[in-house]
Amino acid sequence: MMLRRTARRDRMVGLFAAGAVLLNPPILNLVGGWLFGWPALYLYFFVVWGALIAAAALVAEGRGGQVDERDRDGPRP
Amino acid sequence: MSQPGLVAVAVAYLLLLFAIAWVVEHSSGRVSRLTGSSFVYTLSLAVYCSSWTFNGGVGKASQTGLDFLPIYLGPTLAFCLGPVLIRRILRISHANRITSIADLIGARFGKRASLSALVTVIAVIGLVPYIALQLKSISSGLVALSADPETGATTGPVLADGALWAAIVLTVFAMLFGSRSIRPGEHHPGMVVAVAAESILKLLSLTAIGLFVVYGLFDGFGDLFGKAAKIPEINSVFDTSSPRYGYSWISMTLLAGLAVFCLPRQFQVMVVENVDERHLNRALWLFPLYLLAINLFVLPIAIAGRMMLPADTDPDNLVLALPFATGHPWLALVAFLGGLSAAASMVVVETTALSLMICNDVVMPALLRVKRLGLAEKSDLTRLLLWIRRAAMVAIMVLGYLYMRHDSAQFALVSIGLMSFVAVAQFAPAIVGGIYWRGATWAGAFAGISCGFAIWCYTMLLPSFARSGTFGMSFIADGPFGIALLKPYALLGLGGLDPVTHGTFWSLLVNTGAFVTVSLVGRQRPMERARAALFVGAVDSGEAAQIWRRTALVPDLMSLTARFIGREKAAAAYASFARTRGVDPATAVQADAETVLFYERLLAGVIGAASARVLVGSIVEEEPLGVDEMMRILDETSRLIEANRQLEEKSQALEAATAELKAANASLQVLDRLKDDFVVTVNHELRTPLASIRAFSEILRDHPDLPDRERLDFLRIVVTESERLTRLINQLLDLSKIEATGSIPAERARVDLAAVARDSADAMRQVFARSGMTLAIEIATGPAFVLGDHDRLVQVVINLLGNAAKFSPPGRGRALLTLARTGDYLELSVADNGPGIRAEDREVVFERFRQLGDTMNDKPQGAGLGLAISQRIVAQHGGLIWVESGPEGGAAFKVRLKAAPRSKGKAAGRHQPASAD
Amino acid sequence: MAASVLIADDDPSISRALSFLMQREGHDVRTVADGQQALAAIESRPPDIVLLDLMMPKSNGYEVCRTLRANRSYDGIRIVMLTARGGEADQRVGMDLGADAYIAKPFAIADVVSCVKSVLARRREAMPGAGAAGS
Repeated sequence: MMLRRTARRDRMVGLFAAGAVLLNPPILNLVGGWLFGWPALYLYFFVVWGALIAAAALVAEGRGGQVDERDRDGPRP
Repeated sequence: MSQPGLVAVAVAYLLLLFAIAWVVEHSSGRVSRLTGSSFVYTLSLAVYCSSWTFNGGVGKASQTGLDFLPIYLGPTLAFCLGPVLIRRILRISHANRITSIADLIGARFGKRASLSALVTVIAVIGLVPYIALQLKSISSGLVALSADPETGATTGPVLADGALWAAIVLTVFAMLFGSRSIRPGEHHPGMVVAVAAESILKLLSLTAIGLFVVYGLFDGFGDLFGKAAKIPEINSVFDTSSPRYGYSWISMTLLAGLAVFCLPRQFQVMVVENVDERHLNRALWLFPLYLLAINLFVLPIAIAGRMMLPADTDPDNLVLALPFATGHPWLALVAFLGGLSAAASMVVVETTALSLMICNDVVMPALLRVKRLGLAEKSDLTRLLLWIRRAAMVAIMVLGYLYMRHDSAQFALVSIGLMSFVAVAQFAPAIVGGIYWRGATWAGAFAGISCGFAIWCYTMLLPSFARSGTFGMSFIADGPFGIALLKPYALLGLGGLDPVTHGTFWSLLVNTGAFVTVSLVGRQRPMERARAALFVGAVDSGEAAQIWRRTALVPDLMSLTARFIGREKAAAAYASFARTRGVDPATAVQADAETVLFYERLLAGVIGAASARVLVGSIVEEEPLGVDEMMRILDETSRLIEANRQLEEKSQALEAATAELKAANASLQVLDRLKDDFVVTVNHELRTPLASIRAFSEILRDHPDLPDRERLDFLRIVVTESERLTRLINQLLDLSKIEATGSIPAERARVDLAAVARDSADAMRQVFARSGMTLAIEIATGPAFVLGDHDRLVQVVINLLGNAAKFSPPGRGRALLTLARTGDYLELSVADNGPGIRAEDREVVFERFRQLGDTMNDKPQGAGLGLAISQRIVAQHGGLIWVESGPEGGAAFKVRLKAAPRSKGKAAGRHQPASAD
Repeated sequence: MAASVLIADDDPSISRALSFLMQREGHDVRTVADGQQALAAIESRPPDIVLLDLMMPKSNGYEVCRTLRANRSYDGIRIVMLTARGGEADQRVGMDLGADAYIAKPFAIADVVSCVKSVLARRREAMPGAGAAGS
């Protein structure tokens, strides 16, 4: 049980790291110009951002009730 | 559209929101449970999107493309760290009934009022521009909407100062939402639901404008972007020719990530108003999704505005101006209401949060310390609290309005907002350090926050005044007094950064540096250390209560609390608390540490931790930390205290040893005296028969002329006394042997007590018969085994039977020997029909040489050692011997011995197994 | 020469031996077994001499001795202490309380006889200045 919760926390931290790298320079500066008539950066941001949120949703809500149960059981993170 | 009409719509809209809030707080059905929803919680978090998002974001996008995005990417990343950071803040805050960010920092570093007051002051100074920004946004919205599309002139001289009206209306609403009543825990469910509703409207409004722009004014995204790509200045925003994003982007992301939990309004909705920690799970992704959604159309709207509106249009009014200028005033009104929602929710929550901080962390602690006011004794302070808060709200709004009047023309919305972000970001090192780093000290936090704030003032606030002309641009261009190294936008010559990045870098660097350095150099006071352990170690609250060992009377605490939250609420809260601890609330009078802590937290929920501490402290007996408690809290740094404690323990051990020695000495002296008595008694008992023997022997020697009868008589006496002497010597030897072996019987074999009783009775039958007495025996068990020494046990039974024979009336004496089993014990009893033993003598008969006076014979037969010996033998077998009244009025001596466990192994072969059990 | 002798001893054998000896000397002998009986016998007919055992039930020898010496009308009664304890401290206590002689058990019968004789003789000499022994 502890392992699962720790795993979830670690996954969120992993998402943070991935997001921090992908949504900041210098990676950011690799993207530019136009793609399919759209600003590539605009597409890039909303795709990466959306993917990040989707992943976070999967991690946070994953195995729903079970996760909630685990959250309930103690004051220690 | 006329200004009065606009204002009427705006006020009507705000009234609608207030009605929602009122219904939520006054109904008991499904509506009131809205705050129990994670969606409402998430939407209330969207108070983050103020009119700055609504209007400023679009304005920024129209100038610099996607530069506005870090403001939303930062919170998204921060929420990825939610399970680590935000959840911890939530738990700590809930456990300690934290009501504001100032409270959190103050509580972590020892609840000294000065630190939370500093935080409050910084928050107010830092956020005044931000509130000004909202006023500016509303007023410029009013101006834009009411402007005559033809002439551009505003109509309606009464409402020329739209910002003032906006300030007044919002102040009233802030009071209505945020300070209508005092509630434990500072929950404002009505406000939360209203904010959530406004968040929906913000999102719908901006999305509607976006759809209108993309599909109404253009032919979809492709058309919009295609046309935009043909305009060089827009195209250049998106090309890859030069790396556009650098430190500025990173620092904005960082700032926004910090602001999302450091902004007082965010802290209010995210932590204080949170009713269920599990809501955070959903908000972790749903809140970023909201941010994404509300930003989806920002760039298209901005690009469209850039293409379609005249170049001199205020970029911050694009959202309004676009539908207005293209002939859709109703859509413009929707946009206006969206912006109004954003501004109103921000202002209401922010002023509520700030007024709480001002009231709880600055004004109340100060007032409570002023003894002359006697506030601690006043019976009802809820009204006072409310008025302090309302006054604080008014003051904040006045400051915001003044700032706006003074400075508003100088900056774009985004720049003003970022200035506030940098100010509140100064709290982040103390918060993050405070909850993860045990060694963080009060002094460190104070130094860090104040240094960071000083840098902020110098690099951001002062230049903003300077740019508005207060003391000239040369301050910025050349530095104060022409010192180039002190140029506020290029401190120490650090140039090439935009002012926000520059200010962020220096202020957070100095802040963190001072925080860490002072914490490392300084020492923690015990209370601070306890607090640190509590926050960092996340000790549960019961344990925390033990740290202070405070006691008080429940009625005192109750009346104190009742003054702030009302008697009924206080009583109900205490009753449920008492129930969880299994205490009867009606009878408990002495409040233990945990109860005191409960009350303090209850109070803290209303007036803040700092004030609560002062108040509770006034009626509580606070004991200093004991060595043991310290040890539980302290960590490896406390080796000195450890050594001290050991010393103390050793000296205590020495004292204990001394006391033990004294006690041993005293008991030795008693034993010595007893031994003296014993020697004297033995001496006497030996000399007495000896005296008779010698006397009669000499008489027989000196008087040969004695008649035969008398001579025989004398000889018989000599023989009898010799026997007595022999018996005495034997018994003394027995006794000394028994006492020498202590409690270990000579043998430990399985002995059948029934056989012992029968054998002893057989041996004594002769004695009884000689005196004409009868001896009956009743054995109610089969073989009854005990562990022990057969011969010794026989000696006991014979002693008791001899005693019975000695004290029973000759001729009609009757003795009864019984053996029975009661539970695990065997009980042997010898009862006689003699004179019995008086109750007061029943203990002493077992003492050595104790012969009771009322014997039937003039001369007792024994030496007075029989019972003493019996008692020692029984004690050696782990049994008990005592005397009580016999069934026929005589004495009944009883022996109780523990039955041996069921036989096993070789011993089993020798005896029949016991049948009784 | 015949004197009235009271023997107070809880041990019947010793009592018997002493009374035999005193009767042989021609004295008038009574025996009692405890302190109370001794005081009662003295009160009913004061003897010339009391042979007093120290360790007796119901009021021991010291108490009897103290009671007698507190009453000036009994000044004439001689007291010989008999004890089985034999310590010097006991002897001094007995003498301080007003005993005339002190004999340790077990005793030689000759010692008892001569002791009684000398105490009785002292009494006769002391007769003119009665009470001197008590001071």
